[in-house]
Amino acid sequence: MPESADTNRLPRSMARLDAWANRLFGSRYNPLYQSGTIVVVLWLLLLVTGLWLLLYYRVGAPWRSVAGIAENPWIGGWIRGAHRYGSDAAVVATAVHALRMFLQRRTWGPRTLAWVSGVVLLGVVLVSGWTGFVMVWDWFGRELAVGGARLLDLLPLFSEPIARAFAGDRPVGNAFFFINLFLHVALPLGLGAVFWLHVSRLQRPLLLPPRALGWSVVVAMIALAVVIPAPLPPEADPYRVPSAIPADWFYGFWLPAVDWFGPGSVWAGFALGTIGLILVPWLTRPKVADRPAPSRVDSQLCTGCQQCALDCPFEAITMVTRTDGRAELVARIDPARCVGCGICAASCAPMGVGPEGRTGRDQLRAVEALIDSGRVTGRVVAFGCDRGAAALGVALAVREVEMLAVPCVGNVHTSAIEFLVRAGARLVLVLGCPPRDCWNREGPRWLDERVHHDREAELKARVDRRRVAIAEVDPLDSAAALALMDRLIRERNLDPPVAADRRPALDLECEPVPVEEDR
Amino acid sequence: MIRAVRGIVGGLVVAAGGVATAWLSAAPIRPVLGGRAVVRLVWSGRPERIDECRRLTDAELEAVPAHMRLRVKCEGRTVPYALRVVVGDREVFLDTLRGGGARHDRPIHLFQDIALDPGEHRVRITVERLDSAAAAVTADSLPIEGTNAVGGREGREAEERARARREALPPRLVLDQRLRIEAGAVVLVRYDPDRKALWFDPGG
Ligand code: HEM
Ligand code: SF4
Ligand code: SF4
Repeated sequence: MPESADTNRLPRSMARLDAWANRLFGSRYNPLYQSGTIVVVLWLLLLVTGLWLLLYYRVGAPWRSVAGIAENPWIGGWIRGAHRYGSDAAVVATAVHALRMFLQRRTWGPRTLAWVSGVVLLGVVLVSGWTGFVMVWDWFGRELAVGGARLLDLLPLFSEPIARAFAGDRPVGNAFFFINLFLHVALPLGLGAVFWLHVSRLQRPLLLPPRALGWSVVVAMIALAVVIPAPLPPEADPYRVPSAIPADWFYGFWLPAVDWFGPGSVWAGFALGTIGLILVPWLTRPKVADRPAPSRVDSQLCTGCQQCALDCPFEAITMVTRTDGRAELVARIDPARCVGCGICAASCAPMGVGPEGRTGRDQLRAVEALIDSGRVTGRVVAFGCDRGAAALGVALAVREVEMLAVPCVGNVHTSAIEFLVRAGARLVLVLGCPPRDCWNREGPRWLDERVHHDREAELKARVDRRRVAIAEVDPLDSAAALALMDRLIRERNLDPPVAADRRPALDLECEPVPVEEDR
Repeated sequence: MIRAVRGIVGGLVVAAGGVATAWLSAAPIRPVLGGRAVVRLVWSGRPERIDECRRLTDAELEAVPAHMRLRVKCEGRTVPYALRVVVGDREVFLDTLRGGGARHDRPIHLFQDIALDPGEHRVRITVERLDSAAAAVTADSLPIEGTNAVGGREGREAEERARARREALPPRLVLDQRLRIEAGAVVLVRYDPDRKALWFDPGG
């Protein structure tokens, strides 16, 4: 098994935070893993509550109409609160999601489109929030309007500065509030279109968190709105300069900088930040030599079963007609979409696809070498994901556990597991990441289905299931991994096998093109 | 961790997140002008224009595309103004005002906040033409020919220039007054184009 460098791990602080959240909420409901889908839930919450608020909002009397909503506990003080706190939480969740993607280096190559559209989403979220707060036309709304106008006035677009509109010498027209309202409806809807682009390169994008978590988020927002009602500062008044303005820092974080450093510096900050974020895919791209090789198809071996095209999480595989006269289709990889995760390698029973060095055949060869070196029979062998459990290798080696690092547990071919069991491994552990945090999106999911639910390229029925276990582990907690191992050995009564099966013959296993496999 | 403890700690973490969100959703910002007494200069006015005008000959006019023909060709510039704000005997603001646009031929739009200590002040604001060029040579003193290549157009051009001159800021504007401004209050300084005068607008 090719050993990979541990360049791609999360920083310890983040890994520790993940571990804590896993302990508190369980990995399935860990909100850090679900930050992207939580934004979607919040977006839906904002649409519903926003539609309700729209019924009561008046362009001709913005602040009064919002005050009417805020005062009325039945028509919606709490709905307004949920709308506001929901939009705040959306900024936090978006930032966490983006930070995770950044730290996991899911930024470059085939993910460039997702990253860049993500930056656009972030911008649209912030501008939508700006329009929302301006709509209220309270002290803070006016402050945001003036701050925004001061920024726009630096662009040579308008002969009369926009900020003049808020100076107080004439009333701010209904037209302004109407356009603002239009933007506040249109931008969040436009967000939907950009979001479609954001996930357009993913197969089966996970749009929502597990139901319980999604509803918990909604309930938490409503509860917060009931317990701490959203504030409503006094109506905007151009003839007053309050010494303190209750401000929403999630959307107004830049306002003090306009005062302190001037609008030019704030522009420069925004421009540099945006350019920096947009360039991330190119700045974080590894050197060509360090990039994972894309997958390849051996058209001789491919039987056209389509399983790899079904399993690839990045829609990098299509089935095309063959040119060699055989009737069936053949898989074709689009290298521009392939992230090199190797998941396809494990979905192919005839082992005809996968990144170089990581196909099913390559895995069997590595396992064979390990068996020959005498490090399998009677021992525990673990497959560990490069991004996570492989880090436990050194700690587990003390207990003579053989750690095989893989780029993703979804890459582990069931035949490799079978070989190890048949060669007398006491236990074959596949130590993966939490499914909702798989850097390749669907690795642990397909692994589980192949081992336990007969998904194509399944672990054969003849394999002693007691000797195979899949587990999620905390890569910082070797004690827990060892305890898990001991527990499995104890509970499953896993003495070292008395006699190993024959050394499996690789040639016999792989060579016949298995058009008529015994399935 | 025992389930119940996990539940409690998880609940506390969520609650703390909620409180932090609510706090950051309404934490005060302190604008630099906040709580001061503000004089806000906010007005628009056309800068005076100094034109050097000359009547084109028929031959020159022929050379110009039909839709761009102007009988009187003027080349000119708008004048800048010095804006001074003196509070008590201290000059607190000095700036040169120029017309908007790349060629400064658009109106001057002013929006400037000046922060003072709350209380009573003598505030003196002057806007003075900086360009002392001799009275412009305008085409309007030239005799108007009744009929020519562009018909009555010449008259309209002259009228347009006259209107621009009428609307222009006067060479000198002064507003000198004692003012009482409370903390956190804004008094506007506006320009009345009919009276050609600045005035204080305390709002409300
Ligand atoms: C409105 C804001 C956003 C929402 C609702 C959102 C949501 C999502 C969702 C649901 C996924 C798919 C998860 C999956 O099925 O694997 C995703 C993927 C992704 N997001 Fe976002 N996202 C947002 C903003 C951002 C931002 C600001 C960035 C970074 C600048 C970003 C970067 C990415 C990347 C790189 C992926 C692809 C991950 C991969 O291919 O493995 N997203 N996002
Ligand atoms: S899984 Fe293998 S056999 Fe099936 S289509 Fe893909 S490459 Fe071909
Ligand atoms: S390596 Fe991963 S991304 Fe590439 S084709 Fe295979 S499954 Fe798809």
